[in-house]
Amino acid sequence: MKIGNTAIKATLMATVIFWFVLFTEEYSDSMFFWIIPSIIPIFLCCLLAIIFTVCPFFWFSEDSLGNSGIFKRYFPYYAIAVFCVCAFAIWKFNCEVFAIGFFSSAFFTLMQTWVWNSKNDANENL
Amino acid sequence: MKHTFNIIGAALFSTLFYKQDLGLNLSLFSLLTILILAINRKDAFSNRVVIIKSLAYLVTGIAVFFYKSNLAITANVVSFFILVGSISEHKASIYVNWLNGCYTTIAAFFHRCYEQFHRKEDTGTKRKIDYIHWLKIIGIPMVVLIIFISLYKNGNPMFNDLISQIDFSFINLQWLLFGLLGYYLLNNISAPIAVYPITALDLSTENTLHKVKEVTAKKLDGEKQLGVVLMSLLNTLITFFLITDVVYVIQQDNLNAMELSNQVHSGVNALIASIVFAIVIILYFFRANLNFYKGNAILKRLTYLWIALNVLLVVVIAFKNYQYIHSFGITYKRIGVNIYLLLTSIGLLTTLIKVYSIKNLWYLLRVNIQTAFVVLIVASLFNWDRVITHYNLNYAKAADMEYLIGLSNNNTFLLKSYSDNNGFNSGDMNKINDKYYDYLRVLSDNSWQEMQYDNITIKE
Repeated sequence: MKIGNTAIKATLMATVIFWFVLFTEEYSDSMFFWIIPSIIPIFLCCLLAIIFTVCPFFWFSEDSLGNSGIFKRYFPYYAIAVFCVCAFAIWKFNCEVFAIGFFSSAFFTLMQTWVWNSKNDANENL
Repeated sequence: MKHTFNIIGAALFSTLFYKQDLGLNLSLFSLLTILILAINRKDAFSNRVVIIKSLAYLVTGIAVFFYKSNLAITANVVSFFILVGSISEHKASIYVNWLNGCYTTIAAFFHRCYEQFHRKEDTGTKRKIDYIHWLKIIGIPMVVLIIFISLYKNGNPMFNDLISQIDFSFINLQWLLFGLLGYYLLNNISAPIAVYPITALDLSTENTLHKVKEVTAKKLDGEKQLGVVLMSLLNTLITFFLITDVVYVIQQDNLNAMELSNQVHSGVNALIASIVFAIVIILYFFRANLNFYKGNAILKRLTYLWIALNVLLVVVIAFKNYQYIHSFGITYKRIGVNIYLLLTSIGLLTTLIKVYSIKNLWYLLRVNIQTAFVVLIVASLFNWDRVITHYNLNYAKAADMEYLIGLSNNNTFLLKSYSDNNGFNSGDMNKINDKYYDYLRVLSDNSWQEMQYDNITIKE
């Protein structure tokens, strides 16, 4: 599993979703200057989320399953659990735009991370 | 074609739900969901089970328009997941349908991304789209352009004026984002998927119990003897409990509210323990080869008697609950007790079938969860606030007005007409009038998406 590579792609995706959601609420030119600095905390969040919630499935599963088998077996339950956590958090923060941006970007990015990982496995086998 | 329908559906989704409360929109969305599913999976709709589940989903959607109760909304959401799941695999159990429905709704898009990639890889027709390249071509120039525009605006007042005149305020980005969410949802449900390996496991699991392996007759006889002794003792105990309970109920003509409340609640607690024990004990003894043992007739008869006595216990508690309701009116908790008693009776009946027809644990789980789903759908079709208010005002010996006024707006018109015709004390009259006028204000503020049946009634 290429954690660094996946984390960079995830950061790019999360940044786009997060800022897009924020721009829909209120747009000002000054917000653009915050995009670049925001990449650092977003990268840290992505890296930690991937290491602590996605990687353990790939590290501690049976080797015979392969990334593709791990995806089929665990992804459905992971997706439902992450959705519940994110939906609960958004509701807990009274559906504030910042919370919607943060948790929706977390949800979609983590889902895509699983797809990238299963693709990595296939590419490595080529 | 599929994408066109999904895009139209997404626009409708945004129109129906963006910054709106629930009402007519949920009913229309139920219809839209069924349409999208029928367009994309015509084959699935030739199945009777799928048609019944679609009707159940539609009916709960209509119930939301009529009553907008939390129960109707819950039933609508649950039946949505079950319908979507049953399209992915209609032969699966209802709880697997629910899981498949949840997974499809939440993450089918990503599952399909993964599947498409592997399918292309297998067939060797992989046409790789270079997303990074497209992102570079579109994204980077856009970001750089916007940064430079904002810089130039500060450098030249004429340029600033020109740029400021460009007005994109007619575009509601949040509405579009909501539409995108709608597209994601509709795209997900347009091709429902099944969770692996639980669906395959469920399909391969039968309802009937099979002889597992040879066990000595001596061991089975010993188990049977234990069962007979235990069941005999339990039957004696429950008979004694029932006799004392019935005698107590007959002797007490006028129990006060507190006593009746204690009676019903302790009865329900006893029932919960009794039923759980009954089912666990029955499942233990009839878990395997004792079902096929020739000398099990006495144990089976004692088990049927145990189930029948538990049903009698349900009847006694139902009678106490009826007395309680007759004296002090219906409340949600008392309706809950009745629903629990109904589910318990069905649970006992299915346990009896399990023993009689030699079924396994999965049979019990499947049938009982399916029954609970049917009860949920049927219960969501009633305007319980109106039922409670009507009964308590007309038939109960005493009505708790605070409780009735505190219920949702579904009983407002009934309370108002009753208070106009029969009158209450001034305090209650004022509260009912406040509730009535507040509700009229809520109804008049409703947009067409939030419309309820009461909007039509007030116009008439």
